[in-house]
Amino acid sequence: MGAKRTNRVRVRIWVAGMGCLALMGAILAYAFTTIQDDVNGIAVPSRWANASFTWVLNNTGTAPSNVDVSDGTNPLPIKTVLANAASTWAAASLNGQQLTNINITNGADVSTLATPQVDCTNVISFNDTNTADFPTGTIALAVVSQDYERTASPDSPGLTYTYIECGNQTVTTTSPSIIYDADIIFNPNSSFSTSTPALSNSYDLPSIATREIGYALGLDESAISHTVMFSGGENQQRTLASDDVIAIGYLYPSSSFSSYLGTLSGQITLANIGGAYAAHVVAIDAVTGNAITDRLTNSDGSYNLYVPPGNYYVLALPLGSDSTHGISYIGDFSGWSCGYDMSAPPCCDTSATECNGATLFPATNFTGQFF
Amino acid sequence: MKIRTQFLTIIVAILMSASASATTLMRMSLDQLTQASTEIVRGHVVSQSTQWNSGHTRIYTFTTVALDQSYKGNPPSTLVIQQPGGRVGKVQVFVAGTIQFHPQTDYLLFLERSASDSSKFLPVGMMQGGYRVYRDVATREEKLILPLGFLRRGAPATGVGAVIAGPAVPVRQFQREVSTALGSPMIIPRGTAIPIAIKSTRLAGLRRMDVTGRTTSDLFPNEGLVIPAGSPLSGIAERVGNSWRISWTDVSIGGKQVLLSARNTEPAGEALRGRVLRVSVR
Repeated sequence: MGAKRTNRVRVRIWVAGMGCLALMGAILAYAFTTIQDDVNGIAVPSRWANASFTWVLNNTGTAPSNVDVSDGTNPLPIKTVLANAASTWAAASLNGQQLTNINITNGADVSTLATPQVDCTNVISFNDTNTADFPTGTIALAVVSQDYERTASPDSPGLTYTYIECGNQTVTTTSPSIIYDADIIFNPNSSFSTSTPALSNSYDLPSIATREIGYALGLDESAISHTVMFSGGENQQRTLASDDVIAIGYLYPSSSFSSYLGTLSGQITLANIGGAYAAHVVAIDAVTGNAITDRLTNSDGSYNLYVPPGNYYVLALPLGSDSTHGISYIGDFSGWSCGYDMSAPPCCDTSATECNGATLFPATNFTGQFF
Repeated sequence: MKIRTQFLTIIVAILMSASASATTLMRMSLDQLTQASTEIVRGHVVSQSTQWNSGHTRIYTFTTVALDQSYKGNPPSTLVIQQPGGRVGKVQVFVAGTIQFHPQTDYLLFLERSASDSSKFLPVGMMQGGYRVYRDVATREEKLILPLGFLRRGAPATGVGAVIAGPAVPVRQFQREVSTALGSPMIIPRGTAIPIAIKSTRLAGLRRMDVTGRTTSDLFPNEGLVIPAGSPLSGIAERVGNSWRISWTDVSIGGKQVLLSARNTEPAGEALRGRVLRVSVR
């Protein structure tokens, strides 16, 4: 497939009865998604107005005691780590093509705040004192404030919208939904390291910061396990995968986004029902087997996958044909095998029609998490 | 057409309320969830309110759950669960990783009491602590949804625990798993380093004091054990020359006492209270 060529792929997937519906709330997290708002009944992505985001560090100049910036290999100061993480998104490129155009800047540090606030200042904090923010197991979180305008259909091109936030800050932009405040808070009860690799018993601050800044910019989860935005966490991925790059480019596109990427489009349908909303579709590089990007389908089952020039398989993942079969996340493809752990194939019930124990396409090893 | 409309209606409703995990979470095993919980309950959602805090700086959502069954702790008949984020008017504060509760719906919940307000509860591991119960249309069996697709059982020592396959499992099976986890012994591995702060001391005889401390970090020594931040430790300090020799005897994890053997030696002279130590388990 060449650049700009659009393939229309129609895939029919089998889903057994309505039992799957109850599962969907759990499944929806697993795809490249953006933070959205409800505008006139339509879910639209929320973006920073005019593709501009400024963050500040809540710090008095001394590294907090739970962040080790001196031990290990090539440890870095906190602010350097955060700036690197922000730059990773601002410079997001695929095959030498910068696909995004967002201006990310670092403002002057602020003095210690007790807790992050909805105040149009995007604070990164390591000393949030509100213990209610950190149930056991919480490492870091982004608190993202959104607003929307209902003055016109979100599909109307060329319109501008005016927002007044935080009492007196006026923003004019073309987006019917905006993000106007995003604070990132790291659990003061967790230990972080800026070393490469991270110290044992510490979380890798560079990868977590990259992930959390991704959220602050308006990204949500990816289902592809080697991405920064993978929903499973703990993968310590510092560099963006193709899905991350395409996702941030989708929100804040450079001119290369539309000139370099092509589109795979199609529709997922359900037997006796029609278009399947929120089905999970994945573009697989036909040569390497790499999972390039994924999306959820629109309300009529249609989808658009933005991909670089190449040949692809499009995989439509069942949302779970019943309560015990399905796929919750994927790695890359060099074939097909099944099992909760890859040492114990097959996982697919050969009597289940969605597996049949057959190879789905020429690839020979499919890594990922099955249920 | 009617089926299609119903299908889309349900899906749209789920989509608009769905929240992904925009949070970096430690993926916890069932054993760890069980240990960190002060209360494990089954209940149904009665009401929900979202409001600004008193300083109009943060938005929180409070979900009231009526208790139907208790598996651990002493929960009240109604529980209020506090989570950050929610929508007030046009403003939506998005903190994914939170549980999106559905009205009049049953949940099995792993909860810990808020340190700042013990009348409020927090879901352990955020979305990992909430399991929506539904009845399978085909089999009429009650099932619950594993929020992260699957759940590890946890192992008492190092290594990988068995997997509870999801995303949905029968409630009865899950209850058995919870019971097993509740009955599993907690053993803190030798060499575990526990950062603590000494909170209080009390004279207990000549040159002898009772000492209490609290852990200052969430610790996950292995897949089968968690020591949440704020867990209280007890010990005895004895004056030996110019030092205090502190022998730690136990730590309370989610309300359950776990024995440990550890010793610290601290210089005498200044008060022990307030000192920050690293306790190494022997």
